[in-house]
Amino acid sequence: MERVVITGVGVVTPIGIGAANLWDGLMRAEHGFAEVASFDTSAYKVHVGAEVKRFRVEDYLPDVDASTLGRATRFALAAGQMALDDAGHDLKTIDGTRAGVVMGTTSGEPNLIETFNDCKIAERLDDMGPALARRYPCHNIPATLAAHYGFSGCAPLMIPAACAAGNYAIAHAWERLHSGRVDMMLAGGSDAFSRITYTGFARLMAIAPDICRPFANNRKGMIPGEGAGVLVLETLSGARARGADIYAEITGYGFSCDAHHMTGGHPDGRGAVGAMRHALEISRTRVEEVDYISAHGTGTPSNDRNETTAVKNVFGDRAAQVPISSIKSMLGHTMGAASAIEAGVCAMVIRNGLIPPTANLDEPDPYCDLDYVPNEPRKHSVRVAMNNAYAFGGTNASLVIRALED
Amino acid sequence: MTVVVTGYGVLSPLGDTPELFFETLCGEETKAGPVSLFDTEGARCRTAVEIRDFHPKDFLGKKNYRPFNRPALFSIIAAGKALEHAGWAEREDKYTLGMVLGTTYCSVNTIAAFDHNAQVAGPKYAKPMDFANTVINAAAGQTALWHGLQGINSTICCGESSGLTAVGYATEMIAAGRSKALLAGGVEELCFASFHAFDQAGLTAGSRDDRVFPIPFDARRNGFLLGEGSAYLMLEEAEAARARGAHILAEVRGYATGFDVSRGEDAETAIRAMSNTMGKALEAAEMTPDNIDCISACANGSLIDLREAKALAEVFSAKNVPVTAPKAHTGEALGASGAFQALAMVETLRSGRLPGIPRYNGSEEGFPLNTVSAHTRDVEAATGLINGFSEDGNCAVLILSRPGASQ
Repeated sequence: MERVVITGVGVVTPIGIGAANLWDGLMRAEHGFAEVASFDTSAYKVHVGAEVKRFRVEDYLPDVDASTLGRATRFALAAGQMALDDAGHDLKTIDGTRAGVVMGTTSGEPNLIETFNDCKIAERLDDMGPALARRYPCHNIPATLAAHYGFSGCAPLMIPAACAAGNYAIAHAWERLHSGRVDMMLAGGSDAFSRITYTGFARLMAIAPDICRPFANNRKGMIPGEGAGVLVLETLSGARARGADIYAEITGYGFSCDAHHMTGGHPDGRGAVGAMRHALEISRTRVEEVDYISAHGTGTPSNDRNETTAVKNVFGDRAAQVPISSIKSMLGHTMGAASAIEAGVCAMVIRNGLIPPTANLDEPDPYCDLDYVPNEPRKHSVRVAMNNAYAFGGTNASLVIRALED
Repeated sequence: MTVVVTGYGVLSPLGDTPELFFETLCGEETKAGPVSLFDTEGARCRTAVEIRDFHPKDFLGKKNYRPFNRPALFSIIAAGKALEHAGWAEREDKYTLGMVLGTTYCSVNTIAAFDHNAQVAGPKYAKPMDFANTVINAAAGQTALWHGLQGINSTICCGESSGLTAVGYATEMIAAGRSKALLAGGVEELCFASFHAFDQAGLTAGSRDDRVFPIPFDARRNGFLLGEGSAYLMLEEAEAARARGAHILAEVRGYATGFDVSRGEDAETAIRAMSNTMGKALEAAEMTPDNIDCISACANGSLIDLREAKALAEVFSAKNVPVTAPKAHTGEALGASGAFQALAMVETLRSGRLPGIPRYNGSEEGFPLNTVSAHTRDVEAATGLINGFSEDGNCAVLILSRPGASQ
């Protein structure tokens, strides 16, 4: 069985594009919250979102015709290119028949459904053309990347596991590499800001009016965001053979389903516990070895409490000693991209020996009484990180990411 | 590690049991007809293969079905039948099961309606209950919720090959030891948004001219008809299945995926991706083309059926392997197609009957495939190969055998 390592990180986020810019933003506890610019929110009670500003895919891939691509596809392409650059890959030397792409998303290209409705309401539906057949189906995102780079080692899959999708995609790539079926995978998640997603969370009364405060007593909800995270994953043998700079190793993952509620987690964190335990089991990692948890941490009252319960359940007496942080306190919730971006951040945490903070955490919730690394980044050597993600449909996914050891 | 099929369930326009589904598949009668679900006025194609008079209470009893959309209900019903058939429905450890579901659009109809309400009447008229169903994994989530399945819950999207890829993904997960048993299948609903788009793209039969000939491999073919429904296979690790006394219907022998990097733009690379993927699946099964007794093609009546025919001719040149194309009956059910094909292949291996392609009256001159028949044939089949190729380049191939064939 092949060991699987992370050699490249590419991100498009509301607080920075590119791994280095994101890292700088996290260390300064910057946030990406602002009045929504992409559509009119005057009919809503909330107006804040976490949109990606000043993004042009041509800045990263000059040859791409952006007019034919949806926003989530553009994010994914740019993140993929940045990840390949970060990994030091020369495309000419990659064997495309041994490489593949797998992505995650919550909504794919929902902006096309918005256009469809706009056309329908204006009674000019034929203007819509075949876009919902050609460009909307969400598998277009990984297929566009695979076609661009000529990666044909496996079918480019979309695993739309909602807000846990990035972890689901990375886990699938891990399996393909681990079994030796391919040598290299681009894996991650991507989602575009949309009025549909915003309306939905607004109707669930889940959006905070100002900023996102995970684990705080005065938290008022999540803030919808957008972006992409893509990792270059390779077999350890392949990465060593080409002398790659290795961030960390992925040693396993765990999936589960709450089978409890479509939009709310299980109050005891049942599925979250299962996902963490499976991940530890597959990676042959003991609870005592974990020294950082990248939380799902959306900032909704129920998520943060359930997640705290789940961590206590898995980590027992050690729960309060493991630093936990939620970067959604700064990025907002980038949906299907979130756990992929967070996996990239775990890789940087291991490399840099610094943990990003949970921002906006001034008033602790008595029910959330663990170490959430409030407000300031912390110097801390991390050998083993656990990356957690939970989603609509009750689906959960955890990854274990480790410093590379012989 | 061997992965076996221990049960199946289906909800389709052809029937709501595997027996009925397969009988219809082996018959001459078509279930295609005028669309009743939505207004097709102005569309060039007005025909589809629809599940008519669908009432969830007929399958699930009298309950409040408002929180569910059509694809979720299809999936819940087909999954329930597969659990029942495999003998899992009443087991105490049912909660350890997981599921893998292939789909292309899943919730597009719900998403469009949710947004339409908000745009026409204002955001406060968008229903929170519908929002839960706007995620693309909604059907998988609702199915796990209904049946209490707490294991792996993956949704797979890769176009028309999604259902077959879901079966392959689940097979690999079981073979890797991640789960002892998984439900794997596909779901799709017929709805206005996708119907309109395929009509605009000129891909459905009759959307370019007045004739409707969605007949796979036939010289007169001029596009496909959209279909809908859901089917699941119960997949299990063979030893565990035997230990619990399960009835084994078939074995999964090989699976592979591939990709045409031209995304269907270049016929030559598309054909090569198809034949390469068949070759990789044969390799995974440790087989040669000589081991394949029958083939379920994914041809759906499109002009590009020719590509699959060429790829088949390339791989099976030395042998006359009988070929069928279930989409002649099911229509192009997108994410559900591969699951329908897999279920039909299990039935072919069990019964020795390979469904015909009704109204098939020969292919164009020079067509590279001559093992297609209008009539249902008796075949001596221990092993069958199933193709799932999307128009835009995704390839999946699955090989199934009769139980015990690998020993």
